[in-house]
Amino acid sequence: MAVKRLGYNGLHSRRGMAEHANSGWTSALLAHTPQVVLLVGSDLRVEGEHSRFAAEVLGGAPADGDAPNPNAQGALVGRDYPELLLPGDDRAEARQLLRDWLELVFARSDLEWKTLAELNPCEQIELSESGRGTHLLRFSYCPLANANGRTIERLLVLGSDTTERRDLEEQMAARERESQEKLDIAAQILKLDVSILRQFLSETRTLISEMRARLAGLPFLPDRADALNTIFRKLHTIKGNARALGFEWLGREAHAAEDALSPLRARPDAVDATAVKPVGERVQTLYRIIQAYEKVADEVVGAAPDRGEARGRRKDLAVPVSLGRLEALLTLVQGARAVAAQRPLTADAEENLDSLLARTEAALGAIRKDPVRRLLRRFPKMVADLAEELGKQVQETAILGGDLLVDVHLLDRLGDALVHIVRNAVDHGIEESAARLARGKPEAGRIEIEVHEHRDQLVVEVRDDGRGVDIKQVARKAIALGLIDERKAAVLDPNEVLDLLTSPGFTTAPTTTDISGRGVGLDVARRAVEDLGGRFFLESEPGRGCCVRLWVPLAVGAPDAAGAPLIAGGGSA
Amino acid sequence: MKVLVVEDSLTMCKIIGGMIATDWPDVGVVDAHTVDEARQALAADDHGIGLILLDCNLPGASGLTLMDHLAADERLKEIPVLVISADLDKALMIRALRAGARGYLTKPFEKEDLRGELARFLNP
Repeated sequence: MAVKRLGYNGLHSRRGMAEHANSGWTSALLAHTPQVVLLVGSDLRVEGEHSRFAAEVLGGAPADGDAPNPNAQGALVGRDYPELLLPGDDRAEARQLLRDWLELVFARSDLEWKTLAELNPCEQIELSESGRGTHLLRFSYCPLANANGRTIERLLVLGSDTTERRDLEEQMAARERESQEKLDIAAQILKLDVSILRQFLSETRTLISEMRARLAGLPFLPDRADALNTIFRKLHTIKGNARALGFEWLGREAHAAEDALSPLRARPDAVDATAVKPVGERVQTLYRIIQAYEKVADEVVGAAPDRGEARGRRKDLAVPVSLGRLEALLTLVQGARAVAAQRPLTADAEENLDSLLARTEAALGAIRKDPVRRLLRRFPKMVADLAEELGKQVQETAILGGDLLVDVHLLDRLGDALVHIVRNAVDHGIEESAARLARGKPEAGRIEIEVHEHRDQLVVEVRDDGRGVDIKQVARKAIALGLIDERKAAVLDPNEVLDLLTSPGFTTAPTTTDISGRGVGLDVARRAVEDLGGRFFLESEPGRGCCVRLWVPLAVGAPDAAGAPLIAGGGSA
Repeated sequence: MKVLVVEDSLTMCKIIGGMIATDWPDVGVVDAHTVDEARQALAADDHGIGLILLDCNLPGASGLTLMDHLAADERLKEIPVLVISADLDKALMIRALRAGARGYLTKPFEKEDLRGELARFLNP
């Protein structure tokens, strides 16, 4: 009898739920199961019998008393399934998508069920029931085919309440993510074909640069929608490649960046420098991740791609380490091995192991740091030599505050920038003795380099008591180079002067005695500082002196200088 | 027999090309990085291309516009298309299937997934 009611005459049912049971058993099951159980035909309407739970939850039928009510169980027959699951105008789009999918299911016998099942656009819905709170219902589908086994004739729909399970899954996923990040870098890199790895690192770096450039320019563009789409596509490409190569961490962060971009894509007209910031930060994270990958790849495979003159060659720097320190480290590692050798590990042993490894890590990290003084040591002599070469008089360069311990790579890159800045101060800042005396200044110029720490930033100042920046001269040179017109020259503000001084066009121009101004090498210095995630400032008092101030984040891989602008700009700290 | 891979990321082209070369050494691979390049490759082709792998995330015209172009051409509409996406964007995949795609792959795809799909269309 059950067979007849469901219209299964002679048909081959995969799940076989109704095939052999007698009607009494089936009805009892459908009346009491706490699941949605129903059948959908190729016309997308509910057919046959369904569970009472389904009627209660989807059809709005009131929960009946104890006696199974055949009416309640038949309440949904003939109803349109997409309408039932996703009612209301606000869900019209989702409803249509479900409809489209169901049509594919019933029409495309050339596609495997697995392929179709994956595309189920409505895997779960949230239901609020008065008195029962919000529940998550997860739906799965079983195809019931006809006699030849190829065409799907109806779908068995099963819906279960999975609220608790979802919460548990979220917790587990979070824990897994944390450990995955640490493991995947080295492991994935080792597995890869070197040429693909090289291609990937290089391509991703290029994409990141391109995105940063576009983000910086975004608020000034007339057609933002197009630029936003381009940025999205690049993120999408990075995500796809990262996942294909097993770089989960990068893939996840790229996805997060896509999410951060969504609100901007939805309202391109509202895009300004503030709106762009969260995306900029996400892109900066991607940049740091790719740097981390490159670092490991360097050591593991020697696969770091050429990155162009601007970044300079990657040197292998050396740090001095005392033998005593190395032996202490060795002891820590041996201790860790001893603890790890105990099998099975007790909770205490685990804690000890973790603590030993943490200390080893910290100790190794500290070796990578040096007092800033080592960096600054070279400057007094450099200044003296340069002064002599140029026929100027300069007092002994004052170095203030060299005790700070800073990561060796940071020192190295900062050193390059400082050389440019200091040379500039001597060359263009400090006047000849005669000119100085005429101004009532001491015959010998004075250069001071001061370093201090401000929260998580390193602040470096290079001060001179020279002639300062002559804005009129800068303006004249800029006009001569075609960078600005006369009108603009009259209203330059300090930020713009700095931008001019540090723009590449400016510094490569040949200098003459009349129009020589500051600028040689400043663009390189500024870019180097900004590449480190820092900021570059220049203050000048015409006739009295100049101060170049750099703010650089101390921790390698730490967040950028608070509010570090993507759009290069100056200003005082 | 050739496979046309329409994909703008060079890294991905290398990965896919490598996978095909391993299992089907006699099958040629043609790369196109935009919808226009794909159109040109198809126009220049003389019945050599027997399968198209199409990435939906392309610069300029979206990958799906290529599908419209194929459907409108007598000669090209029989060539099976497999769509590739970095996300399981269900709405997009459903649209692609309704537009006539014969299947899809989501990145990251394992060699087995690609092999399984390709085997449906290439001679073993």
